[in-house]
Amino acid sequence: MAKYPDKIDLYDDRGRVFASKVPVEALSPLRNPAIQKIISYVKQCVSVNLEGIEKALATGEVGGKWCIIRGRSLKLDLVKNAESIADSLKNCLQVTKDDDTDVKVLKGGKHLLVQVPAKRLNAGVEYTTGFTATAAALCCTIVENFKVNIWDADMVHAAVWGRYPQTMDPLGGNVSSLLSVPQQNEGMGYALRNVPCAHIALITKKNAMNAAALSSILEQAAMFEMGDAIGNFERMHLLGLAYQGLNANNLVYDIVKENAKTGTLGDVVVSTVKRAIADGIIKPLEKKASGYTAYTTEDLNKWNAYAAAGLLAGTMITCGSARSMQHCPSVFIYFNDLLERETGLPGVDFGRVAGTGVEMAFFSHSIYGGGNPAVFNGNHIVTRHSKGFTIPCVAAAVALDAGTVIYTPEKISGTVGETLSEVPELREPLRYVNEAAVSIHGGI
Amino acid sequence: MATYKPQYYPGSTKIAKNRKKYMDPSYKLKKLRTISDDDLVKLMGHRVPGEAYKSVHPPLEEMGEPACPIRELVEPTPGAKAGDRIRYIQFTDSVYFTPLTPYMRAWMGHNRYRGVDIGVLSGRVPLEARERDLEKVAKDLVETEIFDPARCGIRGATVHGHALRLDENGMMFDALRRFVFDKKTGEVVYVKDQIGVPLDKPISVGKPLKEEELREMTSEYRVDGVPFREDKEMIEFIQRLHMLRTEAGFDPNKVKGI
Amino acid sequence: MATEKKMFLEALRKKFKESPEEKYTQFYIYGGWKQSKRKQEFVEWGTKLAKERGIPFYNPDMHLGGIPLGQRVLMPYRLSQTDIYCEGDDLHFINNAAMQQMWHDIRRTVIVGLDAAHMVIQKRLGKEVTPETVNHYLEVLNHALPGAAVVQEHMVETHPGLVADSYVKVFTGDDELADEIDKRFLININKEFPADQAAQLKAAVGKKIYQVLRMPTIVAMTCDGGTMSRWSAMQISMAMVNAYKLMAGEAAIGEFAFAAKHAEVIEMGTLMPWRRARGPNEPGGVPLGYIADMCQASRVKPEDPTWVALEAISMGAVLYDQFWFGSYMSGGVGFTQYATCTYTDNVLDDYCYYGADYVKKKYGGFGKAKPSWDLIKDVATEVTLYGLEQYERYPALMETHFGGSQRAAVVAAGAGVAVSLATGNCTAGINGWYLSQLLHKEEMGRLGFYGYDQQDQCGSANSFSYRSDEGLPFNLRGVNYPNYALNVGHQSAYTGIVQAAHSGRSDAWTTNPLIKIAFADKDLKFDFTHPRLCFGKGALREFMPAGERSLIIPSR
Repeated sequence: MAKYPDKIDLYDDRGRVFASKVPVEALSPLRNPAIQKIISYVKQCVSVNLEGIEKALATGEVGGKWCIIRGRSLKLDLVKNAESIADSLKNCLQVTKDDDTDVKVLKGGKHLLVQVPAKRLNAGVEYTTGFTATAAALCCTIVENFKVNIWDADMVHAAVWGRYPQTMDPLGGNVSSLLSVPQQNEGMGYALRNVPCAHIALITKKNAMNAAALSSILEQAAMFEMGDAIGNFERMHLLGLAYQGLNANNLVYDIVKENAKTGTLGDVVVSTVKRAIADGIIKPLEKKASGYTAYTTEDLNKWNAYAAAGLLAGTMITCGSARSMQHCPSVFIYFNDLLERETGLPGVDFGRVAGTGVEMAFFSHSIYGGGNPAVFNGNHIVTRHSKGFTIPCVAAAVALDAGTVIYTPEKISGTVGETLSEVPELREPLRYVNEAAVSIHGGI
Repeated sequence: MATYKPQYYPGSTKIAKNRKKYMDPSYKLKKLRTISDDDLVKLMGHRVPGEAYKSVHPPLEEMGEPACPIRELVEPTPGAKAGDRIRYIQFTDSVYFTPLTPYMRAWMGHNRYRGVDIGVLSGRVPLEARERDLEKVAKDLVETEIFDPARCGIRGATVHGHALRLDENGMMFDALRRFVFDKKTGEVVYVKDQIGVPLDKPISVGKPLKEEELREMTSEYRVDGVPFREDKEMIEFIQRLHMLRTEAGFDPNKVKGI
Repeated sequence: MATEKKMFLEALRKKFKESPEEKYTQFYIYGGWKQSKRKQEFVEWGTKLAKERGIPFYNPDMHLGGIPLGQRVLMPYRLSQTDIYCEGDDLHFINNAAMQQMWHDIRRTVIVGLDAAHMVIQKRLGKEVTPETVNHYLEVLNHALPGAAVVQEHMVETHPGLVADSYVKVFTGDDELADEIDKRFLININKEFPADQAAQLKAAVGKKIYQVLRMPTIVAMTCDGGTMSRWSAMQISMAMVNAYKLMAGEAAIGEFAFAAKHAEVIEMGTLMPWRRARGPNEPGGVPLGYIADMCQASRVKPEDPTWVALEAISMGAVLYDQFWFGSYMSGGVGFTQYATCTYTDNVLDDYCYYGADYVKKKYGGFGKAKPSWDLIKDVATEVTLYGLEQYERYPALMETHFGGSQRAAVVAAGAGVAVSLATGNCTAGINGWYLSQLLHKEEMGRLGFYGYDQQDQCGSANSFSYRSDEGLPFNLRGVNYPNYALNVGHQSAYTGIVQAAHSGRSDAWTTNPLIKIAFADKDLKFDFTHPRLCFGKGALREFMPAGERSLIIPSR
């Protein structure tokens, strides 16, 4: 039985209907098999920069910027031997022959995409297993396959793990995961929010709809993990994921299309309000002496979802027309300011997106902060305030940038984004989540 | 549905109406002065008049774009198409009856212009856009009724002045003295560009508007003009918004029909 | 307090030559930095030292490519509700020894329960604990805590002349036990607090006995907050070994250490997460209610709860805005300007007393009304409109608070303090603050700096939320609370919003009775009963701090 009455139509990233009248819970991270798979992949999939390890060993440059250890170098042909390393690594990681371990050789042996078997994660409580198992197995593989002796193994460790454990994280290492070490999480349940938008944009190959979708999936799944999407608050997050992240009822796409050629952010606000009135989500409450009509709603959660979809559309129009990511915090503040003044109803996440925009504008534009939107994620003290409704828009903005920044997503992401774009469910989440939602439709 | 018309802004007073007017993109801003394209370019100081636009990336057509349905739908601005750098114009607006307040610049700007990045602080408002798009927007911002030569400043840095008393000529304070009052002509003249680099020739931005004109045009509530206290509709609007946000934070399901 | 008088007018008349109502003035004629005595002194020193060190140094010609500071009047500041005027520079914490000492006195304080140690002594070691043994132990610890040896042979020790501000005292809610403690070691609750407050505090503490330990200021200056409980725990354990003649390495001693280092310790501040990581006893980990309780204004003038809140605000301003945000978090020197607005020129005082009078008249006194939408809307709106109107009526006041962040903080603080006074509920008070910010934004069409209102936009929704990392009684929030962790110009006044709710109710403390008592101590260097006066003395260079090194450096 469905907990909530809401049914939605599913659309793809090009505004084509995929299925109708699907219960919104079919998109829940608690139910949707594709979302669960995506979250598993985030934990299981790890990127290895084999070329980086080879270079680090050859030069003695390990453990962080400008740490060059004199007299310590090792010439190992790792890239050339990537296939055999991959085989050994797989053997090392595999628990049983039929498990889901996988090691793919990419870019002629420069990179490896490793999928650590779920069985290893299931035998522990921390998501770091994906990273630790890969890094450790890789050290074993290199030491064994290349007969590294007792005096040199520490350099292999440093080339793989970086400066860890003198540092909390693998500083300067060559194994990377989407997730950061737990100490770097802002609070309980924040792990999935600690993924920079640069990674998201690259994983989804800069398809703005999929970037927003993947980001929304991670953010809203985090809301369940943080304890936010539960009880009185669950439906708000489910609707937010559906309408903002996954283009339910084609709302995002329709509003973008309506304003694609000449629309301003203000026009997007108008389109959003129009649609909310047409769909019966909001209605006039009273007409004031000035002639101004204040609106009300019987379903604030749905209004929030519409507003969130409008916000993403507004980002796509503003950042899309300028082909620039830096505009997004301005959108977060002023889309909401305009929407609130247009209707008298609260903006997205009831002021929290506007607040996040205020700080993000500051931090992305001034001496106190630092970084273009590509470095932002939901785990930062600037951005954590909105519970899942801001970062998908940042991801879309980053995807739409034509190259206006010096620290590009490619520079920030390193190998991770590119490598993980090999995983279809991560690259095209809209498609797989829609399919999975339809597959479990009857179950709900 | 048919009856819905954008309303932009609530409020019952003249100030609220002025705000609504400037925010409504169908209202054509009155042109009050002419600043030549070259002078505007000099005031902003990003390029020399006549110089080609510098680019931050190749033109979109040359570089090709990733397969993205949104990029296919959304028309890039001319500056984005060409790969222009993103540059800025920044304004300081005095608290003394200027046409626009800082937030008004953002609300109006996002209603009227496409692809702009506007930030708001208490004493300055940067607007960033692709350079050729910026120049178009800047023209509106300087030539029309929303700019007063004496009480609005075009300032890149050291913007200090919005809250200070006015000088003996009614000019807003500017530590860099980018603009001066020419007593002979009665006009305000810029002798430095917005970041404070001296200009080769002064640029006049015209005569300051009269106090009584400003009081009519302003979007600033003031106790010595139209006090906010008198706009009960506006006060109640904000009180309700705050109450709705607060109640929604407590439990969004309970906010129904209020 | 007659609000018709406008408390800020006197300061405005000192700051500017024109009448406060005058809208016009002159600029560019004041001689730049030369109009300021302090800047003249800076130039003199900068020039002299540049020669000495051979590297260019302070040189006001570097400002704006040769356009010096002081194109307008460089105005003086009055420490609110004092007669002290100073220059803005004198309120930067680097230039103000009293501000430094306030922070050092907080950071170097650790409270440790004694009862658990006594249980170990009695139950595991079979020794007797009596008031006499406690007094003996305290004497030993007053020798050891500053850095002296008590057990080992051939130990290095600290010079007493450098660590004279380090000592231990105790307090208890048990009058009989207190009577038996040597007066030199006792914080006497009956003596330090008005009778009704003392009764509340003693009831809270009961028969327990707590040590208040002050590590040397020089340690607070050279090490970090995390040092404090470690330093105290080592010396406590060694003093126990000495005083009770214990075996130094037996397992039971581990229980002393555990009690002294962990189980019985109250740190002034808690740890923070990775991005802004600091150890305990650093400003970011100190909750608002702790600062309110450290401030001792409530026990010297309980009949004026508004003044009490204003004194607490000044401590919040210096600790949170000037030290934490202005230095730890941001670097640079800019934040002093934001923070001083809440404790100078009687501006916030005027707004708060206006709100207090309004509440008294309309709601029959303080803490008499329950929180309600009608009340929050009424009180917060009235005080906000009043505050904004003063800026518009008095151009000199607008020029004094020339940054929007200053005005936003001061106006909203007035609103928040008034709602707190009316309801005795500081979470309602902070909701009033957020309404004030939204009204202010709409009225002026401007608010604070680029990132100023992040927490104010989130604030309405998060006031009464009870989700995972939203919602916490306001007393327990601090600058590590997510919404509050990154912008200046709020937390100073937040301290007062907490304080006002409780001083309006005549509470002896806001959040933690032990902290309230621990700072009721005349031997602290900083005067926690009158922080604004003390900052003023610091500005006038009349404040003598601890931690001086003259004993171990060449004389000038």
